[in-house]
Amino acid sequence: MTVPDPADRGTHAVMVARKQADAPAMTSPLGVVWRAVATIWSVPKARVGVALLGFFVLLAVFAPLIAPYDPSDNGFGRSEDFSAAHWMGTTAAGQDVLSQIIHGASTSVFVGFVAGLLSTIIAVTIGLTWGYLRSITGDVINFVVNLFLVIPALPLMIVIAAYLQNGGIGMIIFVVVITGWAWGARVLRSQTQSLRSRDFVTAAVFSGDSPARIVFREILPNMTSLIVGSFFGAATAAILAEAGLEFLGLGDSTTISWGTMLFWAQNSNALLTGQWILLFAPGLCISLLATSLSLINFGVDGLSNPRLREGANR
Amino acid sequence: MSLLSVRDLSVVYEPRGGEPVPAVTGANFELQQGDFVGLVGESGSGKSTLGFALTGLSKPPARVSAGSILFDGVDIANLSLADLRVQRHGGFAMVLQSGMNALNPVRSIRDHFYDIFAAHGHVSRIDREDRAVELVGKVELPSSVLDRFSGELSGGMRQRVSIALALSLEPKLMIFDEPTTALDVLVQHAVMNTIRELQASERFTAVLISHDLGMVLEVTERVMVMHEGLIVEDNTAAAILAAPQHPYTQMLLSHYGDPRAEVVEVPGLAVRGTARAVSSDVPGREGRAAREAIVVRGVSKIYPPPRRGEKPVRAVSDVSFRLEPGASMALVGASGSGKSTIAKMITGVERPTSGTISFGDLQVDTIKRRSLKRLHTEVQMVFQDPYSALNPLHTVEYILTRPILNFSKRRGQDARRRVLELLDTVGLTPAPQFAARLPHQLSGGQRQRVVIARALACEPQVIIADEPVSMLDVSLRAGVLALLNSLRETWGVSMLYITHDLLSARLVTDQIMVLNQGAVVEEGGTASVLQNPQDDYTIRLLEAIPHPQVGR
Repeated sequence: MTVPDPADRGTHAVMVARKQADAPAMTSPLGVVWRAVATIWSVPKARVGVALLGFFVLLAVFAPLIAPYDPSDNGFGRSEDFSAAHWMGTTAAGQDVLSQIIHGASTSVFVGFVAGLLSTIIAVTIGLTWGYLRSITGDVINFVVNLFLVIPALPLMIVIAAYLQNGGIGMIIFVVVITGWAWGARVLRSQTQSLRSRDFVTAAVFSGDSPARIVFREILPNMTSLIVGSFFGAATAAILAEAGLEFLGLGDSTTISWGTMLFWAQNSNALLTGQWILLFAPGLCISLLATSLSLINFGVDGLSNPRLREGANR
Repeated sequence: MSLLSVRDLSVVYEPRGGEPVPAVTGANFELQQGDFVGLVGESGSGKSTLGFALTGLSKPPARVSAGSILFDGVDIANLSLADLRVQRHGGFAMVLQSGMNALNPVRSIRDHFYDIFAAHGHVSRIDREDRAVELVGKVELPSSVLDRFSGELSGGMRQRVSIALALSLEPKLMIFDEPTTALDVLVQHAVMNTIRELQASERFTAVLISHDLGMVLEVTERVMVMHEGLIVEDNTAAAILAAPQHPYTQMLLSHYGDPRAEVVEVPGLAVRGTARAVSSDVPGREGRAAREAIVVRGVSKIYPPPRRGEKPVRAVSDVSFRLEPGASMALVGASGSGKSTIAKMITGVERPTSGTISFGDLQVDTIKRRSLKRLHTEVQMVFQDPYSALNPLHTVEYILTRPILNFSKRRGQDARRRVLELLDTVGLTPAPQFAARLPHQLSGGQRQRVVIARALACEPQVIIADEPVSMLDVSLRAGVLALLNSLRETWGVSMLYITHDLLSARLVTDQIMVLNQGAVVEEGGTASVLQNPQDDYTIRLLEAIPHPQVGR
């Protein structure tokens, strides 16, 4: 055949440029991850987010090494002000505040990660199945999801948490997951519905693939950025919800976390005694951690949409 | 002085974090007032990039890197955005391929005109209505469209509106970027005629950008052929038709033929004369030749009304035919004629409202999900758009392995051997290299070959090809068609070829059925129907095909 081939001629300018950029990285799963990290890193906002998150993760992992004292050791003077021995002073119960802040990071990071992951898994499973099926099952799921969407999350959380009294972190994760998956499921469902009508999905049906395989091998990988975005969103919500529940005294008040610190600070009227750092430090940490995740989400947008990458300099 | 003079113009794409890619290099030409010039090239030849540069619409990452564009003596390559905007009145305008989607769906057509009049202030408030009516009149639309919204207009009407909008600034230079490509065949023809008449009466200078050399030769006086960013040929249409100089132009031109001719020949495809008999006894390879016929009897499909209070949509009405084993049949019609719906019903994707479809002992019209898999081992589909038919995240090997694992007993190395064999069959060699590629590393033609290989993977008896070449460049079409043809002849697969393109139907099929609004209006041997069309609709379809040779 004498027909020339455009790929050999290397014609389409943009296509070729993208090919060169993508070709080596796209070949292995590790390459995909590396490319994702590189994409997120190329967005300045996301870079700040990654640095912040990295800081908190390091704090959480190496808390026992970094913290000057045992956070539950109440053998120090009560409600002490800043000093060389206690940089942030001590609590009303006589614990070192800095050590509590450092150890509190591990609770928040852990809850954020686990609850975010679990609610994303539920959202993905339900959202994708719901989006792909066109039968009565879809209507049933629709009803359940709408139910979870209309119930106000905070009162529901409080009710469940009050019911499962003092269940500790496990209970908090459970409550956050139960109330947090529905929105993600809804978003993923609409994307699935739009991908479902693509030719490659029909082609997979013609290749004899089962519905489950089509959903998870053909459709799912095409919405990575949405799923990663929904994970960071869920993790942010989980961190805030955890702090909120602990602050209301609905968690186990003996665990060391930023939420319980706020709870005890409020209980001991820290503001009235002038120990503003007791409220300010955990509050700032919570908002910084949540901010870091939101900042990373800016970079995630560029993952599956190259136009957002190129348009960034306009 | 010429209206537009382009000197040594180069445009490069500078993607972030990538090597700059030249899209247009050293373009040199002049346009006089009232010229009608065609700019032809295949996808990626830089023709649209050049068009955008001429109207000052180049967007990052594209950048004019060298040369000048003198429009009425002003270099527009270096104009600021504000000066450029002023220049658009009485200057240059562009009609885009997706121009019909450029209308704001929540504003009436009248608002669109008024916005432009207000922005440039060249039409006084009292005259606006008259001017808008006059403009839509010029594109042969009734004044009532001014009250409508874009969603209420057909694709052709919307494209006419966007032409009228472009005219509202009384441009001296109009650039049409594939103005009819997204439209239906018959509508294409009508819109093209309007553009032609407008150009003749208004005497603006027009540049028609298109991939379709045949159409450009038919409507324009002068043609520039672009290839890899270079203008390789610039001559009058008659001269190009009579004696194309550049080998690329010669190649493009060789792919045009008249489906009505006695013998139709296109490079790479076997000659198909009139005398050819319908061959159902193809010497197929053992076990692969089609044994069963698809029998469609009195099939109708009625879709529920799109909106409350409207009538149900009758997509297919009372269609009967028989696709004999090993035969090739074309299903021809404009969009909306129901040809794709028929394909969906034959493959069990949709169910007919009435009538029966059978394939061997399978009753396709009432098929259960379990037997659907059995149907798909025998009836496979080649999709229209190779860019969306392959999952961008899977390698060619994965894509081809799926049907092999699902439909045959081959596993492991055996399955891989089969993948390589399939790639060989569709001409993608060296096969191991292609197997490892991802779809975005393949060209459109190569992708379509992968799609065909996937359809062949389970050794089907019937292949349904839904416009398999309509998204491909002209030069690649012949290759894919030749492949389909040879597969059919060597393996004895039956083929239902769905298309609006009568030339390709003539090239690869023996029988033809012409559909109009869901009903069969004409059927018979492809050559005899096309040479001697009886129905008015078939004649109109034939006339809509550009014939560069006709009338010269």
